[in-house]
Amino acid sequence: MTYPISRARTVALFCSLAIVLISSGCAVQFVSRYDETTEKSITTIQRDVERLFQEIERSLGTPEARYENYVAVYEQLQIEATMLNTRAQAIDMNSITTEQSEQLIGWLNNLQRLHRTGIPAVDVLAVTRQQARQIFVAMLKFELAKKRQSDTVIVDGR
Amino acid sequence: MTLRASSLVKKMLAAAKSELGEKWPDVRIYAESEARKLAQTIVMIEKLKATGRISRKQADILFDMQKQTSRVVLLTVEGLGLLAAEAAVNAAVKSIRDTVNDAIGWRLV
Repeated sequence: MTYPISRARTVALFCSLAIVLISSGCAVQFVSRYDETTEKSITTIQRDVERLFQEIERSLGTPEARYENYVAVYEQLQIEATMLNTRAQAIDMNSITTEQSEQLIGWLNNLQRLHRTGIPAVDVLAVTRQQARQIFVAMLKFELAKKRQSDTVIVDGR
Repeated sequence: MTLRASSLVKKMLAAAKSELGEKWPDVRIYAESEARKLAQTIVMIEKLKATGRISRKQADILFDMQKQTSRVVLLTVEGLGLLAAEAAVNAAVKSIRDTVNDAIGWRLV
């Protein structure tokens, strides 16, 4: 797997940080350490979004699928996503997770707007559900990578 | 005119490749994947519009949602890159720790 950091940039980063490391005697850190509450929050929001999609899919084309029946669900999702964003902001070196949670808030807001206008087709529901999965997989993948890195640091005694 | 996802992907990737220059090989796999998803969404919007099943407002929202999804995915790619760089630097320093500390006589590294 390759990552989007050019070789020249990595070498420059490596050299400058090696000097900092040797002079400070501690491990370098570019990204916040793993936070269990963040991972649990992402999983909770994912579960609630998946439940929302299941309910809409089941009732699509009937009065039960109308937006008015889901206002409280969207409000709860916005609260959960805002709490995730607030926590992400409060953790040092956590700009990536913070930005991801901001995008998630925007995406949930758009899902609510789309539902308010009336879900136009089953295809649209399938696409948005797929988007939700991509978002949650990406966010969890990053949190679990932080966890692996944090575990390595603990094993090394740093 | 009927849009074809493959043509849209080809155009988007050519533009991205030109913009990214030497960074292109690092991000190619992710750019291809996200361009494909964007193109599929655009083609679906076109089909729904042709059959009168989607409004302008709904199309705008749906496309915006696809862009937000791509941003989250690409942010993870960026984060994984930073974690990899962090691990590489720390492994390199660890490899010289004993040598340096023994030579200097302090636990410097």
